[in-house]
Amino acid sequence: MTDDHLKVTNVSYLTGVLLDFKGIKIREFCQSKIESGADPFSIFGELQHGLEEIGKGYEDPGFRRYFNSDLIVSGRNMKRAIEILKPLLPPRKDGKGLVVIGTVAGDVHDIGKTIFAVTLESDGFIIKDIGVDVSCTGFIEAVRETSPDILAMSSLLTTTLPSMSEVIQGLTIAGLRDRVWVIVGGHAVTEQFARTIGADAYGRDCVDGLRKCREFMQEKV
Amino acid sequence: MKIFFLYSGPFGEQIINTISLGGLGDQVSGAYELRPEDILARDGGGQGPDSFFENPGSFIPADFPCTTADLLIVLGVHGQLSDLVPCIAGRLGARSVLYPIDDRDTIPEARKTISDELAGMGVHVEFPEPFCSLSRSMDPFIDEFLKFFGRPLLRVFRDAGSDRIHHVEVLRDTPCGSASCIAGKLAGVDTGDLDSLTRFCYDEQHNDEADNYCLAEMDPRHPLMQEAGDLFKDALFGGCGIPSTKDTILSILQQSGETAVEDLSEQVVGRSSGNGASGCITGRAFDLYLNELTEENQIIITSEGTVKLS
Repeated sequence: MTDDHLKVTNVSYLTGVLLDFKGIKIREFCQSKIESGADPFSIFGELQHGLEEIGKGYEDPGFRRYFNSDLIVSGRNMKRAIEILKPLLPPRKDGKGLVVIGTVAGDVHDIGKTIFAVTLESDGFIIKDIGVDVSCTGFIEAVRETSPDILAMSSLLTTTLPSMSEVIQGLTIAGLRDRVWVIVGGHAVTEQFARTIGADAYGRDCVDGLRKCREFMQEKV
Repeated sequence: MKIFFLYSGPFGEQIINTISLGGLGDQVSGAYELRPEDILARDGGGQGPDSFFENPGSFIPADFPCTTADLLIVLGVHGQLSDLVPCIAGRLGARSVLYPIDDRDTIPEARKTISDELAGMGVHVEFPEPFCSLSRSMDPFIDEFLKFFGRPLLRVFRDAGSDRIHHVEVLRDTPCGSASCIAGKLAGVDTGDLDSLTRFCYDEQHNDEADNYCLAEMDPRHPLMQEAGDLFKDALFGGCGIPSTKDTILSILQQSGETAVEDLSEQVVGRSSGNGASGCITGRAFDLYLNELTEENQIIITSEGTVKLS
């Protein structure tokens, strides 16, 4: 048996955990991981592999293996995981920086964005989560009103990627671009796309995003 | 009546769970999860990629149970695997097939072929879209099923001398179980405040914190979840004696006479409540109600695109 085979089996197991509509498997999974000494970030990381697999199956143009109902149920189970794992995250050290976070217009997916928000919050960032399907104006107004250090935008769908570019252009027009550091992420986003639209950073996953936000705040200090 | 489920994923599991626990458990003869990857990973005995479509019967999994059923219910199975359904219906000896469509990707690719093939076998098939839109059928097995599950049907009891709901009796639950789940939360809700009542319906219908919630597709281009919300809202309004969307359509036609369908739609769609009137949020629900009112001989749709009372 090759390592690749083991990896596939593992992802298949994770998707099974995430697609259990009763939410029993996700609780058992988190509990067993906690008991084995795994830290909450690594558990989130594992579950994200499962989510990515479901996302890939949903977006596969050749043969869609997962449907809307699968996204809803896996999202619900990720929320259950957050409920279980959030109390175990390291204590907050408030004041590291203010982050405005949201999912761009046309996209109602909130799981990836919420996990990233929870990760940042547990690391001491102050979070202003402005939700999903946030318009360009909504992002700009939030930046104007709260003067955050960081603006984080998420997009799961390729069709909504242009919204990220619009927000960055809007910030420039509003004279706010120099005041805020912009990080983008989500299933549809790539590092090259982030560079193309003029974002300051790309978060491959929540751990990578957290590292980049920390680095930015250190530079700022 | 014996029921067999052919399903895939949590959408199917939730419905099987609801139906089994909601009164038909002793009539379930079996369930089988048809995973697309399991079917498509097979090479069909080296017959090439088109072999599935040429001879789908050879792709019935070896571990498919040996059992019989009167009614085959197909849930969330990938549209490209739908050619298997007539073969499986034949294997089970099914007399009727319920093939609900709650997601575009589960629409059978060869719907007409499947219908014709099943008809040739003497098997009746219906494709409700979404599942909870189905309220009546000429088929005896589907009709029997609809005594328990389908379009929600509610009876509302209020506190004496008050608009507040005392309890709600679910006469027919949605197959996903969301109707009975919401009904359990309605005690104490004020039916005099239509806006709040309406918001409560739509919010709870897809509330993923609930035990059972709607799993239909919600893409604005194919708003089945929103349509299901309309159907539940109207079931609740009907149970409360509040005018439903159908009542609103008839009321407008009484007041305005013959009206262009587009104008009627503008007055009904997107106006889910307010001032004692009630509409729906989706054009799909509006079209469904218009068809039903036509079938009930209450309205006539003319060839000029207008609608009038019969």
